[in-house]
Amino acid sequence: MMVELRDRLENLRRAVERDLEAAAGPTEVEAIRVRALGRKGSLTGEAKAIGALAPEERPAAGELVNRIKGEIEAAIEARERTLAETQLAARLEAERLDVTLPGRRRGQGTRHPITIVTDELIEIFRRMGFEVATGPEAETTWHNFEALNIPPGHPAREEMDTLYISDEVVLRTHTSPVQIRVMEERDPPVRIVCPGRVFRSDTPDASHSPYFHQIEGLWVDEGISLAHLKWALTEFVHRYFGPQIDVRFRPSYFPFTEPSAELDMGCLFCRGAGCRVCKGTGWMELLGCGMVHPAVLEAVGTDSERYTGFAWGLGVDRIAMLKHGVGDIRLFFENDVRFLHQFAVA
Amino acid sequence: MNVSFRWLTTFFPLGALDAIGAEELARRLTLQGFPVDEVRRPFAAFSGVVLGKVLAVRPHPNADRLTLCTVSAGDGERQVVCGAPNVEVGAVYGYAMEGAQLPGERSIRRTKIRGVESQGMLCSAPELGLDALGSAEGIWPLPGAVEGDLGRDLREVLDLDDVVFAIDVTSNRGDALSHWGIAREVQWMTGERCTLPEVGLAETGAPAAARTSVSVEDPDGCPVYLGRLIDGARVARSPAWMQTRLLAVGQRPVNNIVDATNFVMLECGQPLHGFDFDRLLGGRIIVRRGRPEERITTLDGRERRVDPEMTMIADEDEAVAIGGVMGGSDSEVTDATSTVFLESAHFDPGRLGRTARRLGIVTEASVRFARGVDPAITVWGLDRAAALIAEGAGGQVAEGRVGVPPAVETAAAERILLRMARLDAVAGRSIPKGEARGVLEAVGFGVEETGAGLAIRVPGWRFDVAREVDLIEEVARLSGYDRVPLTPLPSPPVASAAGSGERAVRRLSTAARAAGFDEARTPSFVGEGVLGAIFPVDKMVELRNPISRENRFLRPFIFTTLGGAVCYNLKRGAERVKLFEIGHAFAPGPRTDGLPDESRRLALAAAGDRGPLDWSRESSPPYDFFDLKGDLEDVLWHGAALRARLVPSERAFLHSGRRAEILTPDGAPIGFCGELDPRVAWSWGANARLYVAECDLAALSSEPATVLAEEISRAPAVQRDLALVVPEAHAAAEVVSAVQDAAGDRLARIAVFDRYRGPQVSEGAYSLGLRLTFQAERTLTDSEVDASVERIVKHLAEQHGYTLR
Repeated sequence: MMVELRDRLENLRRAVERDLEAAAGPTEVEAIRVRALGRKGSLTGEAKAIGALAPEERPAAGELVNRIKGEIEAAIEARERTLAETQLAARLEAERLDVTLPGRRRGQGTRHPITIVTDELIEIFRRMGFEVATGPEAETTWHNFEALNIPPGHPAREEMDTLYISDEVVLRTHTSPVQIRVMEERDPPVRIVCPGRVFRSDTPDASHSPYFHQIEGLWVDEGISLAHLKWALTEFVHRYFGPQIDVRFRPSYFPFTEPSAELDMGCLFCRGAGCRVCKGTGWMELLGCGMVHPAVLEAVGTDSERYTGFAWGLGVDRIAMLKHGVGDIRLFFENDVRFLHQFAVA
Repeated sequence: MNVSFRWLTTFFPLGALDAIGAEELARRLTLQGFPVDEVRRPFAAFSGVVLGKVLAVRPHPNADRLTLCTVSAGDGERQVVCGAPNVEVGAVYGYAMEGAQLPGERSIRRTKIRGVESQGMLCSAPELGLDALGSAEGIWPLPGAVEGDLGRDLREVLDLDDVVFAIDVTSNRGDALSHWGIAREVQWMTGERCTLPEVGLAETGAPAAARTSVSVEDPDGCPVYLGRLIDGARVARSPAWMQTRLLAVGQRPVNNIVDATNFVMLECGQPLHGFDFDRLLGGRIIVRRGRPEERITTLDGRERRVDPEMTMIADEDEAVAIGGVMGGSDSEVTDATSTVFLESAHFDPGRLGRTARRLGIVTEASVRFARGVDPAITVWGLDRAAALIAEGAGGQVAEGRVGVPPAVETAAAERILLRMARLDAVAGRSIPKGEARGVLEAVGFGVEETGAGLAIRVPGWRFDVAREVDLIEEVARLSGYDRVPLTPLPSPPVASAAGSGERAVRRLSTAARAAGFDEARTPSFVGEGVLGAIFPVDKMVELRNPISRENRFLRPFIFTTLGGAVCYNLKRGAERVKLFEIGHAFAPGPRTDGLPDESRRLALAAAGDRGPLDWSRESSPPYDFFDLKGDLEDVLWHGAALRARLVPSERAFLHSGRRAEILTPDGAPIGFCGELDPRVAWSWGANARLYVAECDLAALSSEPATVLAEEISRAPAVQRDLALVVPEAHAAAEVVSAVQDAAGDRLARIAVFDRYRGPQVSEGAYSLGLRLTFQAERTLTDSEVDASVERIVKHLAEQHGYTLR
């Protein structure tokens, strides 16, 4: 009796396994499950028939039926899993995209190269203890000239190619008047950098623009000397352009500084060997600087015996041109978006 | 200024400068404050050309236009075939001998021309690369050549192996605008003294004082005025050596009178002027101030109005020159001049500078006088020029100078004290007294030791040295900036923090970029054409001397130039342009300090497509007013924590139906936005809809308040949509705020999801779709929400006449 039962159950299991193998989808699997395990299913029938067996055979028969049922359930579950995976794989395959098609960009804007360079320069000076000060672009001649030791008729005043609004008001020719405005307001120590737009009546060409940008610096305190100036500006060049860059200070003339100097740095392009950019000299003019002229301190009521200081002014546009290889200053004011978009990360 | 190395050597003992060499001298000048921008060789290379004299000229047997010349180069006679029509017996020429190499890789060989042998060639000026000195039509006779030089190399005789420096002389150093001035600066490098050449003036004429006189009535403007008379000068070409000297430094030779005065000015710095003596009425010079309404026609043919601030050189009748600036055309030296009155004077730098500026005249003389010329050099300059004119033009110099000579310097002249302690404090290193003394004396300062320093007498040519600090610079400069150590700043300071204005700019810039705007920096100037009749010209600040008419005004708003940049991009094919700028704009006063009303502003400008080209969509809709408004709201919220409110505007430069004022929540106006009036865009050559927004930065610069977080309700939100029919005259914002007023606390959010105008809504009204989100601290029941909505609808109907659609 038991032997027959075992054979039937084994045959049933094998038949289910065969059917599952052939099943192509979940519906067929469900039908197989109903046929075998449903209320009227073959295995259910066998289970019911156990009651008809001799009492001593029932436990073994029950165990046998349960084992086979478990195996059939596992087989169905395994088949269902396989089919689901196949189906998902098919769906994913159907959803395949051409990832090389362009992405939808929201188009974030860029910083202007002059801003980028200004920010970089300011950051260096800020770390050296300078704070930012600003002033108006339309200035009184007193702030732009007289207070800076450039009286009317001074040759330097004519060389500046000033744009006039009236006899007493000009577009500032340099950022130096901000020095005056700050020193009028407060006593030393004064440590400021003054970025801003300045103006000259220059006809635009590749290296001239009637409006351009400067950063002015000023440090006034007791005991400041030319040696401090040399240290601060050499340090600046090394931090911005690299510690290997040569620096030299060459006597020059500005009415508002005495002694005055031009800071030259070793040519960035030929490393001092001499090239077209540095006109064969191996040096590039970077900025003008000097010890604040006592007359400037006196103009703002500062004791020029007690206090000394140094100041400098540099052209941001020129540095941006050198650093980013821009050959024409007018590009900065043309604002062609194709030009601007190059400065995405900087 | 162009400075000839060979010319410089004439002030020094032979070989003193050559020991340094031209290149090294240029380097040292640069480090001493006289930057040499360029070093060049002024003359073309050639060799084998000597001075040759033509002894005889015969016709060529086989050619009408050629001649056979017998040429002596000091060592026997040679035969040269010559094609020039101007060959003259007895004249001296550049003679290119066999084997000579001329510019343009031309070699001279013994050759037969039409059957006759020619031993070399007589040269024209262009054949020697000296195009400015003669034409190619004839050979170049060398004026002033001397017999003893025959056979000598032409390069040596004319000093053509020269090196010229282009020196950028700073405006404070008028004294260095001459070879003598530069010689004084470099003398200390040579260990030798520089000296002016011997004048060698022969006064062969009768005393000048018997024929002319000078009266100076304006001694403030002209403290020194000296003159000499030269009779019988023949106006002709200058000696060849002088012509090449002038040419080397870029001065084109004119004639033997003009060249001599130019030469002396470039040599010693003293400008000179020659008058035709016979045209000076009364035969004398009066130096006086200009008279009211007085006029003079200057050498350049222009009539000039002068005034009493100017110093005039006059005869008994009228002004003949604007002193130190430019001569008059009536008294100019011409070919017909028989007697020259030569002037050497000193003018007050301040007065002269103002005169030249007022007249808008820049001459070699005015530049030098305005910067200051040594009054003492007037005497030497005058004698030197007279001697050169006599030599070059064969004139007779009358005995004696007339006029007012420079004051003799007294021993009691003012001295400036240089304190050694102050020198060290400013220069940043300890400089020994002896060293300071040495460098100052080397450039002409008189030095006397005092207790704690040096008492310095400033030489008459140094107009730039007025106080102690000028001497400190002088010592620092000459002893070398490279010897100053690098000293770190005292008490290394801590890094400074950004100010509130800077932080605001950074926040707004970040927000604008996040909203897709590229930062631009546009010009500060506009022409009236840009805004045309739309913007009144009297609301703009006008420049007195603009670079062009299109740049006459300072921009009244940033958009007036930023919009131009947008159009520029559209014209170059950009499909979508969004730019922002933070910059200054200007309006006329009123301010007490006379400055215009200047404000720092933020502007946005956009045009073209809303989004970039998208392969998955047909095309992008155009950027419109609500794109601008959304961008603006984003920028103001993320950049300044400001919830802006827009209300209709009256700005004339904006589209009359699409313009708004930007208000703060408190109702303070901070700017405007909208579509630009199409005529503005047309003026930029673009036919596009341009959107701009502009705000005063001052209103956006306050530090945002610290955010205090509110608790977010975890209870579910319930949404209800309303479609209201509203009269046209009621703006959407009014409807929204009416709903908010009626709703009470439970209304968490309200959003517009539709606006409709058309057949389904009656004439004169529109439908507005609103999505209301209700939320409370606890879960609201449907009936509670329904009751709220009912209340709102009832209120809207009763108070505002809005109905449900």
